[in-house]
Order: sequence, then structure tokens, then C-alpha cells
Amino acid sequence: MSLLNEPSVDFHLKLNEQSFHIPNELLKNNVKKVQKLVERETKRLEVLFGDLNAAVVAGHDPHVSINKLNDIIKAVELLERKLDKRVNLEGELLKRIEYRFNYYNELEELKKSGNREGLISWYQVYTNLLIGDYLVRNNNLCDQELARDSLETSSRLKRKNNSPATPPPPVNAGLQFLRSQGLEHHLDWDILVTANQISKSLDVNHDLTLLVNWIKENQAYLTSRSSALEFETRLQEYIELVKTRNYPGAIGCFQNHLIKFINTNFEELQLASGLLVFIKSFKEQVPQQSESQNDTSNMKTRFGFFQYFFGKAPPRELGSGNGTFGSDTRTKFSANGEFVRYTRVLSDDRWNVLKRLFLQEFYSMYGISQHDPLLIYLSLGISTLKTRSCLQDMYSTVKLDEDLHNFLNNELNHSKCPVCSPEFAPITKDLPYAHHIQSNLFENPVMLPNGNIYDSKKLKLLAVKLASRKLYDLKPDQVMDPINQQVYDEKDFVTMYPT
Amino acid sequence: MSELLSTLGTEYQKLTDGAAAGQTHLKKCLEDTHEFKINVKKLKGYLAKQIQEEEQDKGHNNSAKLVKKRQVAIEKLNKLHNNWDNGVKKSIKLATQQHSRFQKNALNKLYDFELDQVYTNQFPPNARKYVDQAIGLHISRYNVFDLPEQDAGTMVEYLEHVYGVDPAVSTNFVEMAQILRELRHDSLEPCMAWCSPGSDLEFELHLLRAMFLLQSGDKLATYQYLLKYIPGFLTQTQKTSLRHRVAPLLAQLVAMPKSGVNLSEQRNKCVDLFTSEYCARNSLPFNSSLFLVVMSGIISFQFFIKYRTLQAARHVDWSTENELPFNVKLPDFLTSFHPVFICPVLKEETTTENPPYALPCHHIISRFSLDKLSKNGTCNFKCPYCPVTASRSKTTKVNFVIL
Repeated sequence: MSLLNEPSVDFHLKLNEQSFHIPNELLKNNVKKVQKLVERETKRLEVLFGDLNAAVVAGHDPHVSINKLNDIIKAVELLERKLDKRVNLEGELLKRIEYRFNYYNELEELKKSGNREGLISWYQVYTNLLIGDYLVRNNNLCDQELARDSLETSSRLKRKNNSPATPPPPVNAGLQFLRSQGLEHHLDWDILVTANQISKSLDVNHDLTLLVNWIKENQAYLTSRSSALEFETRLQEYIELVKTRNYPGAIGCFQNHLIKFINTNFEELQLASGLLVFIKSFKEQVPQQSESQNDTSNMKTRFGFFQYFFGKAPPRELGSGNGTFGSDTRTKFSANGEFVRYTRVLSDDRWNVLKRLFLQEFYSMYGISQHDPLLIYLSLGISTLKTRSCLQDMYSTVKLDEDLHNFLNNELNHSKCPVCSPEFAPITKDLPYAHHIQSNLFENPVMLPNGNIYDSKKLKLLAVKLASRKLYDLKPDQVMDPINQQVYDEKDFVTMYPT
Repeated sequence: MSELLSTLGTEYQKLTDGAAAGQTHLKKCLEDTHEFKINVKKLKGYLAKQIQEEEQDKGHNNSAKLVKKRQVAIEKLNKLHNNWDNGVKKSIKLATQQHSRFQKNALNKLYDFELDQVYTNQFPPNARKYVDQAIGLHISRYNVFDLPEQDAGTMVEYLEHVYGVDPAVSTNFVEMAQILRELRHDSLEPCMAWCSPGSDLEFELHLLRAMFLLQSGDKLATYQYLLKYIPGFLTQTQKTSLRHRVAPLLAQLVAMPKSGVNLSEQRNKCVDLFTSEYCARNSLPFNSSLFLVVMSGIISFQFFIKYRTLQAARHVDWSTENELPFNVKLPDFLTSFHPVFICPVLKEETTTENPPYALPCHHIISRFSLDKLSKNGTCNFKCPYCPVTASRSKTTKVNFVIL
């Protein structure tokens, strides 16, 4: 049943559970939105009908009822339009499931009919899907394009137009790749693009707007997981406001968004409020900055620390400023744990932490793997392929004639090993070797006087090819060792018995 | 048929045919709303007409009757509203249930493990650079002719701009892409000019051209074409067995073509032949390294999952640090790169530290076993497989090479 020792269709389906899980989640989400919409609109219609009935009973001017009816029709039309959008979305999502089902059905058929070539092409598509997924997740193109197109307008438009309901602009390299392969229905790229956009806006632009919107939309989910994401985000918002010395804003943010975490994150909040005090005191003491700059004894007090610290680097570059201190001052910092706590809070590294936390929540919400699937496959694949002879430059080839060298190199199978290829060799070193329980050699092994063992038939065939291509002048019954390009007589062959 | 697949298929069908064949619950909801709108509009028209009549009838004593008519209409309207309201709410409830059922009956069965569970040997962040290179090579090898660009220079530029492919890599594949594009659009000249005379590719291209002629209905031209190229080709290359391939084509010249010629199959054959010859001639790998590694990853995945499950259940650990704890059987095209020799004495794979040695009787064992048997070269010993006596001085270090 299996042509390449490949797994069963069932296993493939399990391996790709997410490609069915995600559309169903989106479908559920869609129904939920319809439910909300209908609930709202039916209530409104009930009121309108109530008004209409009242008007009829009271025997008002009949034109009033006609007007009421017009209102009703307008409301129903609006609902119809909105429903239409939702139904279209549903159709698109159902199509995704269908495309994917058909794709695995194709695998089933290929396996059943024993079509080896077809199976390999099927796996080519599979590989392209993994590449598409990787490119979408790690896309850098989008930001560059946006930044180049319109620096000022894009940020303004982003806030207004990029409400998560509208699809993002299709400038993602992964998406382009998927489209060129006709695979855009096989991957839930919209989900990955959203993740990519939000994480990039954190990472590169230090902008919380998109993340805050996302958190608002998925509040229920985050609460159910008792996630720290909202707290960390709001804390970051607060910290950034403090950094830019927008104290009223910071206090407002604290009161509006942070105070509700007082029971769960008391210590961090204490730290956060402390931050406000210390930054402010630092500002007041700016004139003294020059004299206390080199006074490390002053570092023992909190005020002195911040004065020293902020006098040296502007708030934004605190992380990098930290690195310029000598190691002796650093030990002093760590001796007094309080300072380290504040530097950590102010560090730009928090953006990275925030990004990771967001991606973790986002991926688990849709049941997507946290790591790039392509990397997982590559890690497993390399280990399975890696032999003890990989990455060993044991064959010192002599380079005399370029054409001859190229030809011989192409004939030697180890030159085609993917693990030894220039792309993969650097990242395969630390991965484990495959485990073999059987020798994997070749037919008709013969040893040449130099100790190299070849398949004698193939060695003779190589001699014929060399002669017919006029690459080397060999006498009949002569062969060339492709490794050191020495010529040997066939009578020197020693038949070997490897067991 | 795969059980999960068929379950998935039937459950999906239920999803699409929720309310009726080809109609989901949401669609029904929309259609009900549409119908409701139309009915309300109709009633509005009716009412408007009534009111008009009423106004014209002023003075007559019909108004009681008209008021009654209006009330009937309003009642009907209310009834419509109630029906619609109930119907829509019911549809949504059913839709919600349907998706939970799909989840329960189809998806929960698919869920068995998480991909992340087996990612024990993680790549460091700087590995991405190399992965990107591998992707660049893969895209250049397989996907260049799908690009929107035609010109060689812009193709390379497009790849560099969109996917960050090194131009040094993509340039190698540009000529291949251009010839393939032509070939797929049934223009054979560029490929014909490229192929080496007397190659299998040339022969298949001749056949393809003849098929084109035959398809256009010009039997004479087909015959003349075959006559002009095939006999010469066969005598020159002495690949006489190929003549069997021409016969069916000639037969179609005489008889009325029933099944017709399979053009696309022949074209694909030419495409495959050309690609492999192109790669060989330019010393390019026929399969991209990325594809081969991914392929081996797919095949080994289930073993990793199985091992993971076992490990969790029995708390076992890997016996050897730098070696996988299980054997994965890979297909030929993934194992023909490096020879693997298991020393028959130690039952261990030979390595650079422990290379294979040939005994005078042409049996091969690893150096460690050789040291053991010869007591570090101090004494003669008998080959473990035959009665011949050997000493370490008479052994040769050997090296297996796959051609």
C-alpha cells in the first residue's frame, strides 16, 4: 500500500488537523456573529412592528403606518445585506475545507493506484504548502512595501481602515507564492497574515494599536485562559507613556486599564507606580546630573540611580545604554535588586517578550503549532537522512580539468546529498544522526588498489561515458577512479564480500 | 478507503447541506430574510393602494370595510414577521449545533498530537538564513516558469525582490524556465535547439511534433515529418528499440484515429526529460535539497510521534545522544547518497574514527573489531567469517563510494 514508506492518509490528516480545525473555528465565529446580528436586528424589528401595530390600533393617519413599513423594509434590507456578506464568507470557508478534503482524497487515490510519480508530485505540493506557510509567517515584505508606499498616510489609514474585518492588503511574499501555485485555499493565510502584521507592528514599529484591537476582540478567549497578555500590553502602553513623559496619559492608562489587575499583579503595579515617581524625580534633578554622573556611591539610592542612569541615555535607548556600563557597576546594580527591576521594565526587550506572548496566545487560539512547521519537518528530515559519512570531506578530489571534474562530481552520489548541500550543511551539525540497523551498499562491490570500493558495473559504465564524451582517453579494460582520477586496469579489481 | 477521510467527507457534506441540498442554515436564513422582505414590500404596496382608494372614496360609506381590510393586512404582516423571526432564530441555532457536531464527529477524531511535541532538536535563530537559501533554490528550481515575468533579467529581479533569492542561484534556472515556458505553450524550437543530438529528448520531441501535425489533421505532413527524422535518428543512435514508439503513431495515419493522441502525456514526458537533462548538464541537483529533506521529514514523522508517545508512557530516554533511537526506512531516492556499512562483528555503523578495513580474505570489519581480534595488532587472528588467518599488517583501510 505504501510506495515510499510514506505514512497513511489517516496519519496525514492527523498531521494536518489544523487545516480543518481553523476553517471550522472561523465558521463558528461567523455563525456567532450572525447570531449577534440577528438578535440585534430582530429586536429592532420587534420594536418597529410594535409601533406599527400601535399606530393601526390607535387609528392614526394611515400614512404613518406606511412610513413605519418603510422603516421596516429598510431594516430588513440592511439585515439582508449584512447576512449576504456572512453567507459569502461561509461559502468561502466551506470551500477551504472542500479543497483540502479533495487534496487528501487525491493522496488516497494515488496510493490506491500505486502511482509513484503522482505521489511525488503530490509531495511537491505538500512541500510548497510548507514553504508558503513559512513565508507567510516570516514575511518582511509587507512592512517594507507599506513603509515605502506612504509613510504618513499608511499609519493614519491603518487605524481607520484596518479594522480586522477587512482583509489585509495582499503584499505578503508567502501569499504571492501560494497564489502563484494556486494553493491559496489550502492554507489559512489570513490568520497567519494577521499574526504577522501584529507581531511586526510590535517588533519593528513598537506600536500597540493593532494588538490592543485584537485583545478587545478576543477578550473572552483570553480571560478563559487567564492570559497575562492584556495586562502586559497595558503595562507596556503605560511604560511607553512614561518614557515619553506623557504623565497625564500614563496616569489615565493606569486608572483605566491597569487598576483592575490590582489583585492579580500587585507587585508589577507597585513597580509601575514607582516608575512614575522615579522618572519624575529624575526630571527634577536634571541640573545636578553633571556632578553626580561619575559618582557611583550615589547609585546606592534609587534617586541617584535614575539620575545617573537617565542622565546618560535618553529613556528610549535604555536597553542599549545599559550595555555601556562597566561590569563593576553592573554588579552593583544587581546587588541592589530594585534597580535591575526597573531597568528590566524599561528595556526594549519587553517588546520581544510581548510579541512572543501574543504569538503564543494567537497560535493556541487557532490550534496552530507554535513553531514553523517547515522547520519541524526539516529538523526531523535532516536527522533521518544524516549518515556518519555526511559533512566529511573525506574525498580529496584533484581538480585538473574543469569539465572532467564537474562530470565526475555529478556521477558521485554523495555530491547530491541534501544534508551535505551548501544550504543545509551549516545547520545540520548539531542534529543527531540517523540510526541504521542494516548496511546500505551496492551490488558487485570491487576494491581498487587505493582501497576505494565501487560497484564494478557502474565503474565500467563510467569509463564508457568518459570515452564517449571524450573527456578522458581510456584504453579498453581501463577504468578511472572518480575520486582521485587515477586510472586502473580492470584486472586489478578485487571482489569484496561485505556482510 | 481511509476511515478518517471518509468520515470527514460525509461530515463535510452534512455541513454544506445543513438545511437542504446545497443550502446551509445561514443561506436559508438569508433566503428567508429575502422572502420576508419581498412579502413586506408586497403588503406595503397593497396597503398603499388601499389608502389611495380610501382617499378617493371619501364621502362614501365604505371606510369601515376598508379599515377592516387594512387590519387583515396588518395581521398578515404580523404573522409573517413572527414566522420569519422564529425561522431565522431556529436556523442560527441549527447552524451552531451543526458546527459543534462537525467538531465532535470529524475534527476531534483527527486530533491526536501537536506538531511542536516532536520538535526536540530546534534550530537556532541564525538557521533561518540557511533555510531561506534552501527555499530560494527550491523556488528557482520548480517555480520560475510560474512567474509573472518573462524576461530573464526581470525574472531574476522578481525572485530577489519578492522571495529574496540570491541572483547567483536563480540565474542558473532562467534558461530552463524560458525553454519550459515555450514547451508548455507548444513551441518546440527552443527546446529542440537546446537538446543534444541523438538524445532521448530529441526523439521524444520529434514524436511530440508529429503528434501536433497529426492533431491538426494533416496526415501527409505527419508522415513526411516522421520519414524525414525518425529513420535517420534510429540508425545514427542505434536505439532501434525506440521504433516501437513510432508504430502507434503510424497506425493512426492509416486508420481513423479513435482514441486520438495523448498530447499532454507526451508533452509532460518531454518536460520531465528536458528538466533532468538540463539539471545534469548544468551540474544542478534534479531534486531540490529542501524537497528531499521535507520528504524524509514526512516519512519519519510518524516514527517520531510514536517514539514520543512511548517515551511519555514509559519514561525511557535516548540511548545514544547524537543518534536517533529508531530506524526509519526511507525510499531509494533518499538513501543513495552515502553508503552505510554496519560492522558485522560490532554491529555498529562504521565512522571516521572507526573506519572499515578489508581482511586478506576480502571480508570487511571495522577498525575497533580489528583491534580487538588482533589484540591491538600483536597477534594473528582468524577471520570471523571464513577460515583464513589474518594479521593487522595485511589489512587495508577501505572506503565505500556510491556511483
